[in-house]
Amino acid sequence: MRFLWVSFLKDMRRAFRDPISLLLSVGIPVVIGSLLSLVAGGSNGPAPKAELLVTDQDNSFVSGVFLAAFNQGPLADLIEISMMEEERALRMVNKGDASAFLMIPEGFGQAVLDDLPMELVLRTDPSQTILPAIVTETLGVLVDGTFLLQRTLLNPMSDLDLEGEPQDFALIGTRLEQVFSGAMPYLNPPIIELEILESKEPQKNMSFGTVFLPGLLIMALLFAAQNGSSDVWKEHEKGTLTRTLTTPGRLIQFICGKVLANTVVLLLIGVAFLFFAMLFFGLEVANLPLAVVWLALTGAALYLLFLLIQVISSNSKGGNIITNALVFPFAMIGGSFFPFELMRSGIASVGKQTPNGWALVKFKGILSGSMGPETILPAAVLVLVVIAILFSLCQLRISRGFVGR
Amino acid sequence: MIEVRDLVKKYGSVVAVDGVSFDAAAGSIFGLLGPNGAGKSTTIGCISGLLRPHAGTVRVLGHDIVGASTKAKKELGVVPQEIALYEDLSARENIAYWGGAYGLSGPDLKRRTDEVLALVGLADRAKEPIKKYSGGMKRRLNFACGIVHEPKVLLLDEPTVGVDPQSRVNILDLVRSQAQTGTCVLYTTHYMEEAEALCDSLAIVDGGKVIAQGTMRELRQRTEERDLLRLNGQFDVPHIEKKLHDLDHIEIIQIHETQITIAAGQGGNRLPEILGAIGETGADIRETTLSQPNLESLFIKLTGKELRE
Ligand SMILES: Nc1ncnc2c1ncn2[C@@H]1O[C@H](COP(=O)(O)OP(=O)(O)O)[C@@H](O)[C@H]1O
Ligand SMILES: [Mg+2]
Repeated sequence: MRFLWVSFLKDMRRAFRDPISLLLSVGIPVVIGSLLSLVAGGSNGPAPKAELLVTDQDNSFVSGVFLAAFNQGPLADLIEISMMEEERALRMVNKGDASAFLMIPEGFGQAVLDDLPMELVLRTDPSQTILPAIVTETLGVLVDGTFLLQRTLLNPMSDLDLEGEPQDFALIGTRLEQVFSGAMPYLNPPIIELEILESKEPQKNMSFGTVFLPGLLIMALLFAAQNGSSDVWKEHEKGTLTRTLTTPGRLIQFICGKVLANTVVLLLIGVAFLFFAMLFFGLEVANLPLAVVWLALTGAALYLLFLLIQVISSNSKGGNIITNALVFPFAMIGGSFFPFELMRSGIASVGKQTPNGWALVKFKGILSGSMGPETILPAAVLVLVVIAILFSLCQLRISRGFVGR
Repeated sequence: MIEVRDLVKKYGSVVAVDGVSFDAAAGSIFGLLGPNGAGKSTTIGCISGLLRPHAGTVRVLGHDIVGASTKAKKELGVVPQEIALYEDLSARENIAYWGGAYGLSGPDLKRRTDEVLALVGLADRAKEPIKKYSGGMKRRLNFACGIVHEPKVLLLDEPTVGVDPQSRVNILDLVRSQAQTGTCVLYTTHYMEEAEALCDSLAIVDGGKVIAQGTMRELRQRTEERDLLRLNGQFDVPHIEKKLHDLDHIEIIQIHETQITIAAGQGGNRLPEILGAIGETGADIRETTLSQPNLESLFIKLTGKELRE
């Protein structure tokens, strides 16, 4: 086992001999990613659409007007409504294929007209943050608006000053609020109650920083893992790997040391990110230990994945081209440049199947507190199994063929 | 201490090592002399456990390199032909890694690191990353990393290729001093002078086969004390062959239109006679070289070609 430590120390020393290039290899893509995210999330990019599934059991004139409001000017750009049956809609929201599900119960229209207390139920996808929030806020305003509508004898919404093209739901909220604030005194007590149910646990403390930052962090790991994986070719070409094979030091410990050293490097990057996030975005400290464990597992698995690709490639150029070619699309579709919350749900559900995307969803869950140790345990076991398999494959390949016996 | 028997190693259809056998003893330097591609590195690779032989056996201090590879590897020090070091680490860190790979640690490692650094003359620059080193310095460190654990058997694969004359002298001295302390040294080279100056016994290899083997004295005797005469110029080959045939104790080793190599007893005294005979054919002799019998002449005699081409 001593040689494992020797090998680990050697690779740690090498990694930190040139910290600037390590930082650049991670820093540049992260900076590009941050800029891209800002552009995508900012006012210039294409506005993301929330998918709102609706079951209208009331089918009345009032419910029709109510839903038609979603198709008005700026709202139509933000929210896309699909009518469907309750069962199917629930399934889709729970799977994360839609942002939210609104149920309009029978008697809704009559209740509005008769000024009777009424309850609407909105379910949101727990894994998305921003889009369900858009729906929730809009609906909140609409519910108030419907009440106002009733008070103003069902004047069509289009008569209200809703023209113009604000891109941001917060802006719509404030504009609508400005419109309705005059009527506020009449809105008390509200008759229609909006009950918001989340499919699973409610999300605590999900800010902009916690939506984007975890994605960038996973991307940093992705780049650092790729960067680290190319080293095995340096060892091969320099002859240090073959020379090691002439010593009594075991190859398995040599690779183990390498994986450990790279994992520690990735972990340090991750911890630096988390520290930054804690300072500026108020992460819950209680969730951090589990987050760090998850990062270590994720880092080791990503490194081994790239390592395997490197060692089955026929030369260093091939290995680097393939791994580099994988990093960007994986980061992109895996929720690092554009968070899943801002993706079309179809693309997001594909992105969540990538190794880094899958890890990211769990990582966000851990940071938000919605996934505790018990929830993560099966996933962690799965990652450990994957690590073991990747490790064996790498070892097998390096001992037979890679060094050319 | 090294026992190689009928060693065969193939790369696809290329037979790189073809039935090589030899023994190397403690406290002596055994040489493998041969041109590039002769199979020297492949032989070293098989002895060091890096390459799996297709046939034959290798024993290091009695341990079979295939069956008891860890035991055998513990006794070995290997200095590969290529400089196999970590460029971004310092000399000290490199030695620490290779020493660690051989199981050294703690005070032992520290003591040996200091010793070998002093031995190869790198003590004062031991903390620099070695990418700042000259080729000769790297060669010396490459050597140091192979002896840090005081191996009983040392495999050296052309350790002086591409070094400055000073480093070369330094390395050759180091090799001698290793043998003097009882180490069994296997030394491969394509420099005939190095083999002559260094080795106690020798195998000359070509095309994967041992073509001559013995102590340095035995091999010198096989040259039959004949001098080697080499002529460059323009020659009428059949005519000259006929002329030289009439002279006694002369052997044509090799003859082309532009070059002739002849082995002759007391070549110096017979120079006028030989040159006269060739001159009579109307040959245009531009350059004449007469060399004393040495390994090169033996190699040429055995293979009909020069060692360095
Ligand atoms: N990895 C390899 N794959 C294929 N052929 C090789 C390989 N290594 C060496 N050879 C061939 O084996 C022969 C012996 O090579 P080598 O042992 O390196 O010779 P030397 O060290 O004496 O120069 C050469 O013909 C060389 O081309
Ligand atoms: Mg060689």
